[in-house]
Amino acid sequence: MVPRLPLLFSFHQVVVGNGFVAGVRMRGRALLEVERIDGHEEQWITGIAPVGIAGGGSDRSVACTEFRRAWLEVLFDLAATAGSLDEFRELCGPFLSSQQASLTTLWDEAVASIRREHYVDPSLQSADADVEVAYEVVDLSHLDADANEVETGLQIAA
Amino acid sequence: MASSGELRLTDIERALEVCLPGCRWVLGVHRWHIYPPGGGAAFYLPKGGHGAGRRAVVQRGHVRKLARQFDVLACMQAELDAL
Repeated sequence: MVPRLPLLFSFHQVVVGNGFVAGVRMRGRALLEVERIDGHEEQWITGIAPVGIAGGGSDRSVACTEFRRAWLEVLFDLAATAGSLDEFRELCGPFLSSQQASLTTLWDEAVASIRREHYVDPSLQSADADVEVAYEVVDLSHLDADANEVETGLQIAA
Repeated sequence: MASSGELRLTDIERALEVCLPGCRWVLGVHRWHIYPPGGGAAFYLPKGGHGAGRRAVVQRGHVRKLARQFDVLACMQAELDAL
C-alpha cells in the first residue's frame, strides 16, 4: 500500500471581481493521505503547488471537493480585495506560485514510490509527474465560446 | 465546545503563538489567511463553524496540515492535546 498518492490537478475557474471578470487556470500538484481520526479514517488532500490549502473528509470524493473549494475560496478572497484585474493578477501570484521545499520533497518521494511499486489506482487516471506546474490569470471580459475548456480533475502523478 | 476531530480557532491561535510567534491572521470573506513571520507562504484556514470569529471550530486535519507546512507539528501537538 502506498501511504501517500502524488496527484496532479487541472482547475479552471471564472472569478468575478470589482469591475473585472477573470479566468484562472492552474495545473498543480497535491498529495492524498489517509489519516486516522479518533478511530476512523479520513482522506486528506494537501496542496503542494500551490501550498496553503487542504481538504478532507470521509472519502476521496469529499476530500477532492473540499480541496477544490479551498483553492476557489482563496481566489474569491483575493478577488474581493482587488480593485482591478491587474491587481487581482498581482495578488494571485504569491498564492498560485507558492511552494515549499519540505512538501515538494514529500511529493517527489511519493512519485518515486509509485514508480517503484508500479502502483495503479483503478479510480484515477495516471499522468506524467514531470509535467510543469503552471497557472495563468486571463481577462474574460471579451472572450467567446472558443475559450471554453474542460478540466481534467485529479490524476495520479506517475 | 469543540467536538472530537475539531479544534477551536482561539486554541489554534494560542498554540501557534507559542510554536511560531508573530504569525499574522487576516480574515478574508471565506478564509483566515495566516502568514508566518519572515515571509513564507501563507496557510488558508476555513472560517469554521459552530461559532463566530475565533470561537469557531475547524477540522483537525486542517490544523495538522498548517503545522506541517510551518514546520511546527511536534510543538503544536504538545500544545494541543486533540491534535
